[in-house]
Amino acid sequence: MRYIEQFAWPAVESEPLLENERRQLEGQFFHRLVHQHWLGLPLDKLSRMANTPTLNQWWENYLSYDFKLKDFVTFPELNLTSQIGKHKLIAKYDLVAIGHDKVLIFDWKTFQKRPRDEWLAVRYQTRVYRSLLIQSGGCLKNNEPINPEQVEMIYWLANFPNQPIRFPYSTTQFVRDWQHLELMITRIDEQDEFPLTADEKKCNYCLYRSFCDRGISAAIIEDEYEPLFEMSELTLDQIPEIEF
Amino acid sequence: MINLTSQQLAIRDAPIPGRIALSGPAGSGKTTVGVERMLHLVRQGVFANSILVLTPQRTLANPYYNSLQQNSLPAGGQVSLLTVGGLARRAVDLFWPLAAENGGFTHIDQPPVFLTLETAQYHMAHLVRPLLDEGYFESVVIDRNRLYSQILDNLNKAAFVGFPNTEISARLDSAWAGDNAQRRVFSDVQECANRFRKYCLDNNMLDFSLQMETFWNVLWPNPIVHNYLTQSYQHLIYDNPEEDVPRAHDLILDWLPDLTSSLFIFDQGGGYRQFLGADPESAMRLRQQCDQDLILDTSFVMSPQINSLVTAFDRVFSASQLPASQANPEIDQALEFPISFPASTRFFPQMLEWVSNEIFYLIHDHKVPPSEIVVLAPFLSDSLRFSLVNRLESQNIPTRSHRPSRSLRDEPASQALLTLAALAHPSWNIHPSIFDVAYAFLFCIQDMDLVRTQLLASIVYRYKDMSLSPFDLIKPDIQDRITFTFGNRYAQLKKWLDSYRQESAQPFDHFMRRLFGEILSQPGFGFHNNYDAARVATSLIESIRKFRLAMDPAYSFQTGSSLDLGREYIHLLDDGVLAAQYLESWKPGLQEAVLIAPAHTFLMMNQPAKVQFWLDPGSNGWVERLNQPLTHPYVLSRNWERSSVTGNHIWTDADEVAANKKTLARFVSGLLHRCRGRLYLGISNFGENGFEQRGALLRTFQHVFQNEK
Ligand code: SF4
Repeated sequence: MRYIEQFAWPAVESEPLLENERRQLEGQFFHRLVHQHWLGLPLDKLSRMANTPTLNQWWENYLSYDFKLKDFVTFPELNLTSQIGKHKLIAKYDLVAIGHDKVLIFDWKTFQKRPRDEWLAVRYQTRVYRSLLIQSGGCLKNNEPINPEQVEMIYWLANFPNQPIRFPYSTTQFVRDWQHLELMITRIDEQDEFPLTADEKKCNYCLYRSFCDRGISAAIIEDEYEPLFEMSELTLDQIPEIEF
Repeated sequence: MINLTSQQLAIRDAPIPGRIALSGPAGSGKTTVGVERMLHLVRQGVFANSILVLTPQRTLANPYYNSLQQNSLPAGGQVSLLTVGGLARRAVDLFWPLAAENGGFTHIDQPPVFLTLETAQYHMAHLVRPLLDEGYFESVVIDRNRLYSQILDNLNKAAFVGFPNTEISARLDSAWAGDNAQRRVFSDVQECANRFRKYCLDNNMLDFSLQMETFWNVLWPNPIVHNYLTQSYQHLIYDNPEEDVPRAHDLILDWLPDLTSSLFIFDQGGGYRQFLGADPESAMRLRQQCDQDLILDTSFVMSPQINSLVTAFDRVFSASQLPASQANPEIDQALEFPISFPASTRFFPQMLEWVSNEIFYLIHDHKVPPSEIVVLAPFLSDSLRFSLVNRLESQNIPTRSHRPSRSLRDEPASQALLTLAALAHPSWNIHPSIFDVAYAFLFCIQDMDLVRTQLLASIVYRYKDMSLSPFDLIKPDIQDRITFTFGNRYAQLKKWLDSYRQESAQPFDHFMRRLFGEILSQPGFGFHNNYDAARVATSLIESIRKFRLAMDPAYSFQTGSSLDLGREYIHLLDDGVLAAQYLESWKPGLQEAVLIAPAHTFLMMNQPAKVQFWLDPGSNGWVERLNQPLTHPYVLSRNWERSSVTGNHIWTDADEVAANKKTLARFVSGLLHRCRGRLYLGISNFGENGFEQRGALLRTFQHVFQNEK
């Protein structure tokens, strides 16, 4: 509904709303600070912007971690796109680092609890970001293709700085991921009706709860804070506003 | 696949590096070349992220946007489509730590607050209201909101043109030759502008003018920002620079040496946005820097007959004066020109009747697609729009009315939400009338009719304390009349509101989201299957949220004051200080419809049509600019600076007449260049306001026809 029909539905996704909003804004500020850091803004000017206890803690964790990217060319907040079927697949990367024989994808996460590796491994973000980089990342290397074996995706957790979660990649995985994405997109294209999910727990954290008649109030997010629609933040409609 | 001429192909395939200026009239295929050049660069392996397409207004980027969506391109990065204002805003946001310190902002450790037009007006009102009580602007009789917006407009002009914002009154004053009371007004304007700027700096707030100035004065000269931008973008396509402001041209002139390739696309005769600060003369400086100066002069749009009409108009406009008003305002026969007008219509509604009948014939007898018909007026009042849409829809003719925005105040969905909000917050002391409550029930309780909602509201609603009594307490026979189904839904709504009243305060937008999600969009309630209403609710809630965040720049998330903020929001909405406008989304299905739009909006959409209707050409609205006693688009421009270097220069009536004539000539030419086949003039002796119409556009038509006789 959100993507195909583009229905606006201003209900509450998850509770506690005010606290979630605060966390979300803090998460955005943190991303912005890291982006500014990679652009070379002076550290003293950035550090004073980390002006809440949480933000300050994340920022210190970030600064004290060695990402070992000295010999890499870095692309913070990078948009890449590729045609897939009749559609365009777009992803916004927090940081892509191109080295001599390595290509690293970094994603900053501000989860309160450390998620399980398996949970992240099967997430669409992990599959889309790596495969799309193979498809479209050649433009970052003078149009030289990127070999899946060179790619690794790293979720760096601001609350658990020394426990990043790493996902290397392989040609087999790439072929499987891309085929899966093509298949999913074809299926969505061919489908006229979209049945409601059988996993009703999902509806507790979904905007469209009232539309689908799947309950009244939003549930409280207890474990890792991860809005269901986080990946939706980029839509084709935003192309005219692509950031630099 | 688009077929390009050899000249278009040569521009598309022009070697890199290179700087090309391309000009020509509207409809000569310039933007088509721009779009093809952009696609060509990407297909040639240029990193898409290094391509910047600049337009002065987002609508003008639509052809680029559509082609990026529709064409299959090599995988890679993304082209940026931006306005200079958008570029400035993003730079300020991204490089805020540099901007805050060097731009004079007080809280260098806090994030910026970008003001919308609404929130800027709100803060301006907050500062100016006490001054009005002290006698500021005593001699000015205009709506308060227009007063606030003109002060903001002056700040924008200073930023666009590039003069210090402390010189606004001196500039306005030096061109003024009338009475002294107006000089006092100019100095009041300056005082308010100064206070507003200081207030913004003290609170990390940036209105549009401060975003531009911070970008230009603080960030662009900073090597980190400069290098970042010049290294990010190496290929520029700048479409319609003549509709942009001089500061935008300055920026690109400065950037030019670092660009590998650039293509500038000028619309000959453009400059329709001069009242917004566009400066075609300043744009010509870009043209002078190009290696190649190319012209596309064959129109792919105008028929030969329309073309000859353009020539005839050119002759009249190049005469030293517009023709004087004629004794007989009837137009003579239009001879050879592809123009139609009613034989004789005295009154405005008769003319509208003629327009809708002609459109009916065009569609049914001549098979003209509705999307090839546009109806244009200098301004599109709600009543004019309503009368036309009604007439056309009664003949089953689809319409689309392109107004840039609509006010949320006027939407029944938002009125219902705001009425319920007032009921939920008795401490606001906003007492909805019984009719408001009945209409809120009508909107919010699915399928309930007006008779029942009025009956229900009259029984359960107590105006004094804004309470709602239970359905159970209503007499059984009345309960029967209302029905238990509706009674039950009312009881659910009441229960929700009652329990909310018991809770502690929460931000107003959060209250609205819960009201929407937990009750009003549930099955059996009015927003459940009503997507348009949900869209309006989304816009209203977003507007409230922006208002809250603009009031809480440090994002302290204090809920204590949220009650007051909600009340304040509603008051400001009622006063019209917060226009709370939202963009109407365009449904693709509606593209196959007759467009009804202000002439200026149509020009900025830059899409030709086969048939144009010009309503009320006798109206002065086609010629005269809006009455803006606190600002002046010509005096606060670089052209004025250029022409007044030799000393005091006064803006005279002769200047006004000459400027109006120039604007009219530009408008007529721009519209005709976007007309493929035929022009219909909606003439009536008496205009929309009931006065006799003899404006300059009508007189010019008379002159054109007489010349050709
Ligand atoms: S079925 Fe559940 S998860 Fe799916 S859209 Fe409806 S509410 Fe959301």
